Amino acid sequence: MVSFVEVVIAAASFGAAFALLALSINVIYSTSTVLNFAQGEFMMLGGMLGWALYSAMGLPYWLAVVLIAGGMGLVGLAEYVLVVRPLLLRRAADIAIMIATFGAAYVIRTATALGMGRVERPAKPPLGQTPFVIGGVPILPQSFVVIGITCAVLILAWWLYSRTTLGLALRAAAFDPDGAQLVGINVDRLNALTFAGGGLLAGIAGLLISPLSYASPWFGITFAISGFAAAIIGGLGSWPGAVVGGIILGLANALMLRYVSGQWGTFATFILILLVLYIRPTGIFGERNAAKFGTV
Amino acid sequence: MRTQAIDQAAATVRRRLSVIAIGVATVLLLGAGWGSRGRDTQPIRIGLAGGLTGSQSFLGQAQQEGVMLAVDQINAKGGIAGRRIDVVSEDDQFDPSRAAAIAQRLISQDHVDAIIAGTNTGTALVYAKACEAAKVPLIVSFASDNRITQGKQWTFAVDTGVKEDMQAVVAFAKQHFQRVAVTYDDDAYGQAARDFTLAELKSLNMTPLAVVAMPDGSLDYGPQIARLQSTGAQIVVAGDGGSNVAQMAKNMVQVGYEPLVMGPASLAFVSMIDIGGAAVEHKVWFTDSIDSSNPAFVTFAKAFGAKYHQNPQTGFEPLAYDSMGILAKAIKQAGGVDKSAVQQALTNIHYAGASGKAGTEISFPAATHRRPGAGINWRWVTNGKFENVPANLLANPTALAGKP
Amino acid sequence: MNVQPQATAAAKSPRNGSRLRTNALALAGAFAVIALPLLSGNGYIIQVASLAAIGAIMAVSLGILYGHSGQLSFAHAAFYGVGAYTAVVLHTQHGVNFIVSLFAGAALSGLVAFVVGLPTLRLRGNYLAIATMALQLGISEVFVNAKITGGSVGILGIVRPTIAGFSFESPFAYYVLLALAAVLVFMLAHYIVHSRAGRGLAAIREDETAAGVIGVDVIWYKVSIFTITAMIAGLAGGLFAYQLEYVSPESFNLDWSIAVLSMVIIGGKRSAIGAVVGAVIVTIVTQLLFSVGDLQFLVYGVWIIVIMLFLPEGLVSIWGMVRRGATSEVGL
Repeated sequence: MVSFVEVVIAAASFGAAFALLALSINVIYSTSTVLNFAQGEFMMLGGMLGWALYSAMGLPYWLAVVLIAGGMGLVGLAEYVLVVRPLLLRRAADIAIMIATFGAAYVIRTATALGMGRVERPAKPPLGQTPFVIGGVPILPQSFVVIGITCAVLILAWWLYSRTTLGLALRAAAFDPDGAQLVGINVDRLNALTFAGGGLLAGIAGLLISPLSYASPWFGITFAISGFAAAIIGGLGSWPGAVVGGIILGLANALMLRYVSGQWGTFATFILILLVLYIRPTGIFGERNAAKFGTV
Repeated sequence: MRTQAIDQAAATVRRRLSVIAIGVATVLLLGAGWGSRGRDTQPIRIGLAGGLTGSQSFLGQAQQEGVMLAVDQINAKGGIAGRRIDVVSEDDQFDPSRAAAIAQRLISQDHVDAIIAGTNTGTALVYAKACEAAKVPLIVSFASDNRITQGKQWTFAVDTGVKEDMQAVVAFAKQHFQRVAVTYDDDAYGQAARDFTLAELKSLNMTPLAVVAMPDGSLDYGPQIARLQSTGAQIVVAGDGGSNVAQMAKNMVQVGYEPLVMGPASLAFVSMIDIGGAAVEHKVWFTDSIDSSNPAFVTFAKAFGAKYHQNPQTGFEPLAYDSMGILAKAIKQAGGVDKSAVQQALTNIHYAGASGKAGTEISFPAATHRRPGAGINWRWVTNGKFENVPANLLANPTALAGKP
Repeated sequence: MNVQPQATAAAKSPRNGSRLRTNALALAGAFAVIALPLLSGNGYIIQVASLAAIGAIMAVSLGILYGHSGQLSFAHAAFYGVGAYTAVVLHTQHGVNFIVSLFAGAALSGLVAFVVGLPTLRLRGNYLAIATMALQLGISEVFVNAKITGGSVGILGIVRPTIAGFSFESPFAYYVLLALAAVLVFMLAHYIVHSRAGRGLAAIREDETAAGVIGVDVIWYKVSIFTITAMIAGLAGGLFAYQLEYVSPESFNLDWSIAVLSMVIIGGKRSAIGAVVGAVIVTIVTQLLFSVGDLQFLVYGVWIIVIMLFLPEGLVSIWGMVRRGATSEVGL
């Protein structure tokens, strides 16, 4: 039983980080319907920068967080301006834009590996390594950090989307970009903002998750796939969906590795993604936008 | 109007295609001519191929550093019988189909006299096949799957086989422990290690309490470790290679389960100490080809530090260094680069290298074409460094096998 | 760029047959020209040309699916792998006739594609891309862990076949077989694109809903083309296994799916010629970049972005731009 609880809590921490990544995917997707494959690399870069700034250079943690949030926002913005915007202006197909973001992912991954080294890096957890023991179950302090910050970000995002004018504009642009443009919303600027936000969120997710394992310039593709899986399970574009999708993914993967097979656990996870796409392509929370998300 | 357009189209197509065809042919021909430019018979040409990209690139890098150190030393002394060594280095990305192209390029275009290659199983198999067909001597630097050299004439491996490594690990486990579990990485090396381990356990009438996959690059091994913990294994025989061992050790400490982790040399990789930290101290034992008390290793390490401003981290650098050393010795004995003579010299070689236990020699028995298992030496991490396991602990390791 | 009227014009034209012949002959000519240096017996050039021919088959196949029909698959390497393992298990391990094994591999790839495609192809665009990516990664896991595939080590001891008493054991003889297969696949692609179904697929690419309205059976067309292109990929995989004489999961992973996609994009996604050009160029550039290490991926990334931004119809469109005016109807 203790071991079951341990597995569940560890899985929930990873799930929370992937929820954050899925959220960042949704932020971009719901305004521009761009699936940005570089999101996984953003998360990887957040982790690597966390190693560089906090573990290696010894900056205070809050400063590292601020620098990474700002820096990754700029990286997201750069991707939008250099790669995505020209294609959106040309009204290129969704798939074409996605392929271009693949190119961006290659560039970020290789630049990171060449600039910061090709080896895996240890990421120091801000609250130390010693687990708290609660009811006989050891829990890593970083688990609390991941889950806590994810919750805080979610509340902030909810407030931003539902209680501010900006949020209203974002929702309008998501609902009908052309209509939003007509009523005077600058959709281009909103897109830029969502890419910056997407970079920021993914970077923070990487910073949070790396102390649970380590930082590596090669993690981007793993992150991207897990993030997209979480987003799809929850429903692309849906915010509660991102959270539920992330947690379900984390739990399903961990429980399959624990109780089914270490060998076939990963396989089972991909089958789960396929099953969700078959049975409910719009995911758990995605129904309202079914037409937009392209089922025939 | 239409027909005319179509006619023109067809003509254009023909023109276009012939231009493409000629262009492609030109590129290929130029490539062919360029590759064989200035083929001088003076220097000895050695082909060097390994994976220099991706998460395992430290392997290719270690191979390059070790070989180039040896080449520099040989060339500084005027080469072999007055002939310098030229190295042609290629990156195969650990991909067999790239390796096939590189093997052909080295053999039929660069006309190398011998090849050093094989940073993973798949590519090593491909190089071995190409070298056997072209009758070019091949030194396999790291790849330790026994099938690579089995039944081969021209292929020689300087590392001990994964079979011998795992036999040594299992024999040691049998001697001191009863409750044994097996973990493995799911790459070719890890699966081979698993299979040899299970076979060896079976032949010793031992049953593993669990056999669990720990694929490299996973973020968390908590679920698998929970499963191991529930079996109460005292010792984990790990057929792994890569960052997974450090992460595994960390995850074990987190849940207060600290069995001894024992495995082959592949456990010791470049960032294991960085990532594992205290979790790997004294807990991870591996059968490395480095022996700190081997004088040849000490000399090598000094020269390595002088050239690269860092110490050789793992057993890979001395293996690569010895690969070149052995080749040089064989060429010297053969009195030149005649391939058959070099092959013959390699077959009979005895080489005291920087890798391996002090007092042992590298040789290639006819049956295996691979360094015998006697070179194995137990290593661990102590005070943030890879060191030999002290002899008193080797006699009584149970003292360290912590809380199951 | 709308190529549909051109496709229609070509298909209606009485000269269509001769045009097809021209294309095939030209391609055969291209391979023949490449074959000249091969006669010199340079093993390296034979190897690279063989890889280019296999790449061309894959790229033509993905080109039909993505460029012509607008469906993006990241699972092409998985289908390629299914074809490769099936051919090896049947021919090398069970002594089944080589050609039969090859087509059995293609058939099994097609079956997997059909079973997976039937539910997945209800989705479009982005979703299909992600579903096929999950499929690719799932099948890679099977290659790594299954017994029949030999796990990560793969299957050794493969020897190139003898067909009808003629031995294809030498790399050059086998290259001729590959080139022949590439020409046949190229002709098949041409036939598919210019058939009634091909026009239906082009209509689906342009507007799925409208295609449905004018009577195109959208799902059936999509599933069919997904299956057919997967079969071609399976065929390429079987041919590849005997080229390399070794199969292991490293050859059938997501990287290869992406590499094939980059061939299609770089060469030109709208035409089989573009796919072939892309395959040849990417194969050669890959060889030239062998010694630069990780930097080559930076080159690939920038290359893909630049093509997407400035040459969405690929390198072959440069030729069209040069010729524009004189032969504005050329729609290859």
